[in-house]
Amino acid sequence: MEIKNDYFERFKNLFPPIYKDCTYRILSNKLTWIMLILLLLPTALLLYGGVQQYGILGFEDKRDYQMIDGEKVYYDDSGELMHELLAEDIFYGFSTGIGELPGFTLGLFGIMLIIMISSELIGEEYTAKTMNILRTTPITSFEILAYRYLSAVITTISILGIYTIFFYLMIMQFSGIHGILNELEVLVLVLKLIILQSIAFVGIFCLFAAITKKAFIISFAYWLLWENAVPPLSPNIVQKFTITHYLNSVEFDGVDELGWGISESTYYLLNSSGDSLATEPLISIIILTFVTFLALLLGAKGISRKEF
Amino acid sequence: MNEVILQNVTKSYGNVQGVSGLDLKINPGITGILGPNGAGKSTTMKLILGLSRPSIGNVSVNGVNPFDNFELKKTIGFVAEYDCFYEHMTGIEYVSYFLRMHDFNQEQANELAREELTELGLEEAMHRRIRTYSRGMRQKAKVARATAFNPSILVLDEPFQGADPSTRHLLMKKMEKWAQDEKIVLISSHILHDVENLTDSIVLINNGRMLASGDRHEIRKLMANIPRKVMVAPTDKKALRTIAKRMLDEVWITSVNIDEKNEQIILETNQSEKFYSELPNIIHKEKIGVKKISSDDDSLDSLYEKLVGGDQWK
Repeated sequence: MEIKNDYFERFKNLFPPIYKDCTYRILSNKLTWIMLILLLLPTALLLYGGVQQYGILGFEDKRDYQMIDGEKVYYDDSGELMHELLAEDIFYGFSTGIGELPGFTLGLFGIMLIIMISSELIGEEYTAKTMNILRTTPITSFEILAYRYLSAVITTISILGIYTIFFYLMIMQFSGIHGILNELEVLVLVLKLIILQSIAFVGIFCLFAAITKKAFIISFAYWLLWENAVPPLSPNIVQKFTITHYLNSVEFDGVDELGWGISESTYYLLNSSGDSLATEPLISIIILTFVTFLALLLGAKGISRKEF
Repeated sequence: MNEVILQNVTKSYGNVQGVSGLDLKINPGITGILGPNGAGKSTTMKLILGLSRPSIGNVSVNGVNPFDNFELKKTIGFVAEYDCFYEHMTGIEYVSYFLRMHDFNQEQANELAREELTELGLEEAMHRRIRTYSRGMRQKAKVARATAFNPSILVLDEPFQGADPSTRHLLMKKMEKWAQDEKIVLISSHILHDVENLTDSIVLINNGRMLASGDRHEIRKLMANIPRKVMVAPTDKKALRTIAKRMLDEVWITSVNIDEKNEQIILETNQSEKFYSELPNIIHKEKIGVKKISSDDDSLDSLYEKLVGGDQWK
């Protein structure tokens, strides 16, 4: 009991200044803002396209609607509910005149942001040589890594969460208040995925940052060549060694509940015999948590074994 | 009692030996480790700080192996040779940040940091971001971070490097006080004169090997007539010629060169003791502002040659 109390007291005392420092470093980094602008670019394009197509925001409103229980419910040209179409589009991406624009599930720039934040927070301790000082100060390697990990996770979730809510509101406003409120489940699912993605990937990338010097490149290569390539190329047990498999399992379960009729093959969750490879969502979350904890333990070991 | 012991310690980095067969016992008081750049001073300090593990031999600090030892870290303060800052933090935030790791709460940490920074003359600058600090202020901030929690062992790697005369004076006073408090104060330097006035014992190392260890007076005797080159940079470039002219009057100056490019004057002397005791008086008397005094201290190399040739220190 005493140990638990001490640990909690230490966390309360140590985490706030570390979190403050990490947040400052993330927000004052130009790369963070470049990534954010890149993330916001599709939003701006879609917003512009939407305004042109539906003629709102001061233009003549070209949308069809019906008043149901005092609410405006919008329809598209073919008479389908606009919020249902938009909800699916913002999840899987839009076909536009200038090509495919991504939806708000984490794409390249989201992952780049996570990699950048993780490698920056740990890597800069080495480049600024503050790690040498930390290693001569009474703070354990696990504390060094875990507090930075937590700071990175909180900041990543905040940035991507705010971006997601903004994206959702900007796009779904074309379907009116009724549409925004009706598709909140989609928003909740995306936020859930962002939280899980951040928890797992920040952990893995923090491990790389703790044990290697070129964390950014290695993390990106890992994501591209392992996480991004294995599930589509390996419709078998091998993909269970990727974070993506468990995220896909949770995502598939979520969209299945939304009733979109999406097949498991969309998420590479069918093997060559047509059997499902999907892992139960709860089991997926437990595995992701375990892998993250393991990554942090290995990373802390890496820091404590490092000689200067 | 505080005690640092190195027994037959060798530290190799691949084919390169950082230190080799080092035997050393450090007791409370000030100990200076002297040697040219690359001699093995920093490696020795890293071994004592637990930042490195010996390839052969044993290192013991207060009876325990220092490598990644959490409890021991509570008692050791380290001033690094290099900058190691969170540049966006203010001085007080920086010192307080590390004090929190010693389990001081926010209030206590801020109070201790304020006291220490004030004592080191950073009272007015402590709320400024470190990125705006001069070299002297940075040095003081590092010292404040390393000493605010009252450690029993202090390891200072080249603490006078880049420090202005007032910082140098202040640090020396602090070190003397720490030594009186029965702390181990270990200073590394490549300039003998930096430490000879405050150390009780000096260890000379070169190429990773201990050449000599002993009383400072003995080492001073060996140093006395070895030629030395010292660079003096005045705050006002116009003062270069004034200093040059003034220094030529002194018999203990063998040559004077003005280095316009680096805005400094290069003085050579073969009476280093006289030089270091007289220079501050001249600067004070002539009211010359000086931003930096540095020395290549080639004299140490000459001393090593002498030591390798003789048996008196081995």
